[in-house]
Amino acid sequence: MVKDRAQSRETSVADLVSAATGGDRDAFGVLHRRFRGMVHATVLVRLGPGEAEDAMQEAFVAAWLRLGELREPEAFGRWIQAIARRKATDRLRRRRATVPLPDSLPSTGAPVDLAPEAREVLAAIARLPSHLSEPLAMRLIEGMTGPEIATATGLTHGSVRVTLHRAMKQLRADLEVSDD
Amino acid sequence: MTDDPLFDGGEDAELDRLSALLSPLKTEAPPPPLPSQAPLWRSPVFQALAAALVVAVGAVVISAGSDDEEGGLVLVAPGGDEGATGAAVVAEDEGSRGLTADGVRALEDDADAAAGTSAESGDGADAGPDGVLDEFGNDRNSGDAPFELPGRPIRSWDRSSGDGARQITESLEGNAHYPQISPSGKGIAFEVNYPAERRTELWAGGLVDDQLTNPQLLLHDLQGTGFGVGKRITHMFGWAPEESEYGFAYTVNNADGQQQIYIDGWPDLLADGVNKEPTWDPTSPRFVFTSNRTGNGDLYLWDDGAELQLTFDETHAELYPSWAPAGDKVTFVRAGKGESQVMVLDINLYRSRMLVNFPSHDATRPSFSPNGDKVAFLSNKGQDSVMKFGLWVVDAKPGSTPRQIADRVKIPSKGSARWTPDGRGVIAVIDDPDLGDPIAIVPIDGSGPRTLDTGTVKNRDPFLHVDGDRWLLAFTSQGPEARDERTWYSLYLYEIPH
Repeated sequence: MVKDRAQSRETSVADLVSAATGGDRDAFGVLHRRFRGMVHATVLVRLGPGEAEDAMQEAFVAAWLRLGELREPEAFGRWIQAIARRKATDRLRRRRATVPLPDSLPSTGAPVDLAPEAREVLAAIARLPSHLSEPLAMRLIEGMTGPEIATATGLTHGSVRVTLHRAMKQLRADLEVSDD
Repeated sequence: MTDDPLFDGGEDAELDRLSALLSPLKTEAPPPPLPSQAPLWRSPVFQALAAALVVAVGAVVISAGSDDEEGGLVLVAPGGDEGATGAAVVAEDEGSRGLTADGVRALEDDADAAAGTSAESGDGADAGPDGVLDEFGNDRNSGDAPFELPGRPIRSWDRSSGDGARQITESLEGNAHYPQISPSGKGIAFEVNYPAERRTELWAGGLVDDQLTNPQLLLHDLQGTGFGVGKRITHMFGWAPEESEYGFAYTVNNADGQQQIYIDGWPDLLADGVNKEPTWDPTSPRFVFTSNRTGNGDLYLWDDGAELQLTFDETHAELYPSWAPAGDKVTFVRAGKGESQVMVLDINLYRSRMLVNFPSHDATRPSFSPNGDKVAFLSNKGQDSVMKFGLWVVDAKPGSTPRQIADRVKIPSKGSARWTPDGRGVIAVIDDPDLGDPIAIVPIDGSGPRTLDTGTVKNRDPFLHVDGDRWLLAFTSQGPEARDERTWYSLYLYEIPH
């Protein structure tokens, strides 16, 4: 059983998954803290802030229910990210079934206290292809470093570095066009 | 300051400003309330291990029932029973596959079901009444109307007689290319190229009793664009796997010279850069495609809206992806510097390894055998022209030695060579004008091509559809030998005796 936060920082993902699979809710809580930023960024760029946290929590609940089926515990990050994408897609479909899809997804349901410029930046990030928007949101919104993104997603450091720079380049170009 | 604050997280005025601006969006949510987990013995891992254990001791096969069933352990026949042994071996194989993305998909679906959300998800389940149009999913497109009635009708025409191939399109002013039968066997898509007009059309129709029915010209988003028929070219078609919420995907050339990918059942085009070759995973509703969006040809995976870069080679272009039947690997071509190699990519690990490298020659159009242990490919090694290709086969493990199994074959206009479902041979067009470029099954044991008696000449692009014991071949041809003055390639079907 995972005792405390200091100890949990040293516990491997595989060990945490193993413990959580046996019903250890504390261990799953540690997994939640470690991966919530990645999962939240993944759904945020698709859904906007209005639904992102709900979708994130849905993904964690789904993962909790099926942890015993995860054959490679160290792949937990990629596994729950795939679940999160699926949850976001399901919500988008339900949204399309009821209301027309807005041009800029993040504008729907955005918190009132989000500055207009922040809305513009978030919308620009969301307009990037998802392979670029996800890691950039992890970096700029969740405050994850490149190595942390690599650890969470299972990508190599080189891939994350290249992806972040491409994403940032496209974001700058998009925002400059918007300014014009 | 660090050398790379974007990656390392060091201080940078622009990044710090953006992060501060977006900081209200950062999540600090605590873990959600967690319901009780499913009992461990219901997990596939447990069941696979149990099945493997039972095989090892040769006793019984154990399978677990669901909560809705009577549950508990079900005893099946002892290991001496052929059927029971087969079932156990399947379970063992699946257990040893590890976490594939397909496995992830299954887990997600199960999780959805457990969370009670699946009934609300998806917009493509309403297949409608039986009929060939279901293949095309017209009702499933939430945005524009991509299908138009054909301005240039292709009529169903059966001129078959005897045991040869059956022509299912009447040849008009263009060449039919690259037929593909849908996984259900109810639809067929093909291209028609009009050389004089330098344009290509994409057609799809039903396939009923081996006849083309209700063919439709696939035109994308013509309305309101100001462009006429053919200006937005559609090609590089790929059927999604059966029972997928998506019908198919194809490439659209837009007015700006960009190539986008249209996905039936998905509202958005893949529009970032030049995107080609949507190639569906046979086991899961996702596809690999090629794109130059990063400045060079790379492979990407489209998985339910997510676009993931799979290769990161800065100096080569990645082309011609083809899936392993299990959906865990993709073989592809890495091209550049006057040569090309056959590669294998582990779709879960993002790890590519070279399978075939013939220095100064091309190795191209690879495809996995049905059990995934071999790869067939074409190469101009040993040919007197770089435009001539032999057919080769190699074990799907790096370091294996390729073997040539046919001296000279026609390269398909698109796609890769097709294996017979027994894995014993590869279907290819033999490059021999004196014999009329016949279609043959080329055994991988090196015993030489076995020509198929299609009764046609100038054949191209064989595509094998397997329906139980029936091997149905779709291909294009200039026609029967008696009419070899024909110029245009038509679409033919042929049932391969075996």
